[in-house]
Amino acid sequence: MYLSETRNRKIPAGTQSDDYRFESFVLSEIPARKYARALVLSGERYFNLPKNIAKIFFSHNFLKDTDIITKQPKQPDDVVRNILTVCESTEVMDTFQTVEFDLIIISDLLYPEYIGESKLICAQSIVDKLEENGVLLSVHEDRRYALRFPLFITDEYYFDYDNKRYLLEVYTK
Amino acid sequence: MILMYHKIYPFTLTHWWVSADAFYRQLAELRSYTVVSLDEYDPNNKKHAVITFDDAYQNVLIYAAPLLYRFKYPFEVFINGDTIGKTNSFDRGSGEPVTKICSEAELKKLVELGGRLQWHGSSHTRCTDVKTKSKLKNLLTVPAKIRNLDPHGFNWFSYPHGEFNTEVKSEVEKLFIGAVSCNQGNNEDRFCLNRETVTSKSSFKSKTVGVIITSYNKGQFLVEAVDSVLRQTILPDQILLMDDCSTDETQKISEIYEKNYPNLIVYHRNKKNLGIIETFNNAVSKINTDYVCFLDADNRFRSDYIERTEGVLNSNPHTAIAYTDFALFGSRSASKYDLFPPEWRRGIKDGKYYIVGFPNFSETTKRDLETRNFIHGNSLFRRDAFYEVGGYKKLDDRPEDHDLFWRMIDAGWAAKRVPLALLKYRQYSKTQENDRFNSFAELNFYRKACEQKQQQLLLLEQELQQIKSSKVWFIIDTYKNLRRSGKHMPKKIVSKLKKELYTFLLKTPVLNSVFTTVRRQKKLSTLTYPKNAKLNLGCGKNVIDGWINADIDDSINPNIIFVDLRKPLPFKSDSAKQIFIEHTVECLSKIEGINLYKECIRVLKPGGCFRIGISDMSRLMKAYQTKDKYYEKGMRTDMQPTITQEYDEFTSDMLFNWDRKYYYTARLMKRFLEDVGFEKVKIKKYMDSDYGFSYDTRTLPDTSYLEARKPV
Repeated sequence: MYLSETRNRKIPAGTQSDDYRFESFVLSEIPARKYARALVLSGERYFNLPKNIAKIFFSHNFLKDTDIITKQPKQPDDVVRNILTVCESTEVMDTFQTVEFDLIIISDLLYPEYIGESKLICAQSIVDKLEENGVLLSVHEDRRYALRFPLFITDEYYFDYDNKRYLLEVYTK
Repeated sequence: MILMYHKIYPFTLTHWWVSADAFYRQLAELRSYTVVSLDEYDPNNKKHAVITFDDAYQNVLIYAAPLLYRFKYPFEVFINGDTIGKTNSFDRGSGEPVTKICSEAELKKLVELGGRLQWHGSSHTRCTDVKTKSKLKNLLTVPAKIRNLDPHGFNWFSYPHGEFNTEVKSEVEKLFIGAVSCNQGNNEDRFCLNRETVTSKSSFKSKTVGVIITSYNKGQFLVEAVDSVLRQTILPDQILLMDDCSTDETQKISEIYEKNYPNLIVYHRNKKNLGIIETFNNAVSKINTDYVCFLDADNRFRSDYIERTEGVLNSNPHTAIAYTDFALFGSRSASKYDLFPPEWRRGIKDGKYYIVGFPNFSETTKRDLETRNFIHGNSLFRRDAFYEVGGYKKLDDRPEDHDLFWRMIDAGWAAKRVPLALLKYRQYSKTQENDRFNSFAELNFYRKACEQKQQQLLLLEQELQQIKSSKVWFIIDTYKNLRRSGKHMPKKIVSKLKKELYTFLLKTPVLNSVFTTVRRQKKLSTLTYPKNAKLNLGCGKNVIDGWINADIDDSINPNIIFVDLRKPLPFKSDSAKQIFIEHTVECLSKIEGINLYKECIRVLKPGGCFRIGISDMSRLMKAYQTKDKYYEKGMRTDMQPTITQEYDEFTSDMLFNWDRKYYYTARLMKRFLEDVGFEKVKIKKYMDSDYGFSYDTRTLPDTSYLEARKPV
């Protein structure tokens, strides 16, 4: 399944058209190739990936459930821990019979208010879960994001959306 | 050194919690050490480091262990028998947050990731609090079930709370091969080795790294280059933006960066274009770090460039250069790529990045280096080695970086390759040099700078708004309107309104001070200044009739005019016949005093007289030493009748209290007066004057009077 096929879809009923445009724009920047296993780590958005891609959504619900903004150690629900768990847990990975992904989308998640001072370990865990030659797409608001993954950047864009400036980075392992 | 950690977590909650990012940085810094287990530890080896964790918190498994496994560092985890799978109940009441401790299964996972379990006691009780020997033995004994969690572990003991005594230590010696403390121990005895408590701020860095970003009319790429350094996993210690007198936007961009990162980025601009060799050599002399690398403004580092290359130099003391592979990009990269030997060409990524993989440094390849360069110019090198071989030199047959690195190798240094394309090397033609992202990045940079300015403007506007909404502004506005509308009102009403408003305004502190200043200036401007004026400066209560009496406190007497002696005197030059100052200059600083004497010279007419009374330090000391009764009594009765201090305290007050800023002796004052241009400077006694001064008020033995004259 080529993700480019998703570009001209009709807006599904009940979806915010603006969010849909954001999603379409982000997905359109993914290099055109076949993907089998995708991991979506999205702090504030939902990405409508094609059905035949096996995928895990780390949704914004995690963020709603945590007290991380108050910096209280609410350990089991900690965002970072969940990121690491998604990346480490074999139970989740059993679904895919392999522990690596050929596409990882990470959006609006690696902000200090969510992950505190643990950006390096998060980045490293995510990179570890990407298979060789796999694609990592990162979309974050430029003002709140100070990370760069230790991978090869193939494309970068700045774009304005919802009165915020986003940085979109496409990495290849 | 033995490091003691407790908790690793995304947030630093107390000083026992080390943030995950700080932990990552510390592990990277430890590359210049040999991280060993406690069994291998040699206290005399300064390069040995041991990583230990107390209490086996669950967050150590989640955040620390995967990183330790990645860095291939062994580590020791000291566990308490009664807290496995529970929480740190022993910390109750200490303010430490409740934190989970590893279960047995999790402890096994720690062992799988390279950890070794050691003993911290069957409970977290202080060993010194245990009364009986059998209880102590129970505390120190590792139950078989727990011992099975790590068959190779439990050889070392960590004293709970770091405390022990000789009895405890002798028991520990029977059961373990060594023990660690954190406060009571030393660095020699294997059974009480001390550990270093690690916090988020701890650093084990032994070498510093500097990045020099060079630009000559490459301002359009500069933002990308600088951002690639600022977003490194491990930041360098210094960034030098070296501008070889560019005529483009390099200076503007660099100055903004320097302003935004004052402790990290330094900008230097050559006064004229010096060319590569001189600019590069100058740049290295301007950066004060152990390791240095250059980054051309049109190239970019991958985010782990510094971490990986620094790691190579840290762990290989005889290696002077850490080099990497690179990826060519830009319009001319394909043709450039074809120039590399086939065995170096490692493929094309995403159709636009041409990966060049260089050979490893070895005795065989070392010989090739003389003729064929495989160490790119942006490699990290030791500054010492750079100076050892004499820096960059201009040659016709070899590029300057190739020549530099060859001379380092020839001098006996080694090089080491990081086999990853960590550098993006731009190849472009002049007509196509401005690619899409570069424009985005530069635009974004200017937008950010613009936003900062807008932010500042917003703050200023807010301040203005606050002022406008304040009472003072309202009053001024009302007053203005009243004056305007008053033109059509009866005079009596306007005058009454004005008076009421003035009374009201005087109550507000800001306007009160404004009105006071206006009043003082008015008083000074209407002052009748006689031909042969006599000035009594700093008069205080000693108002002399027929004189112009001036003081900073003009509220004592309506005849006093306000004069601040720290500022130029508000009198015309060559206008006064006599000036008298008494016990005032001690409250001015030395410089303020000297300026005042200069002002007095200016204001006095030629031949005008000057008399000054000072508190004389030498006389004061003499009076103190001889316990002059008059001095003591006189001080108390004449000057400070209510004073009740002791003799010594009073002397001290004379020197340091009552706003004293500088203390004179008569001899010193004489010198000062002579220095500023007075003549016939004489030390005089109380009421003894050559010029008819008869206004001395102080009869105390500490006071000296001096007289002088302005030369004719």
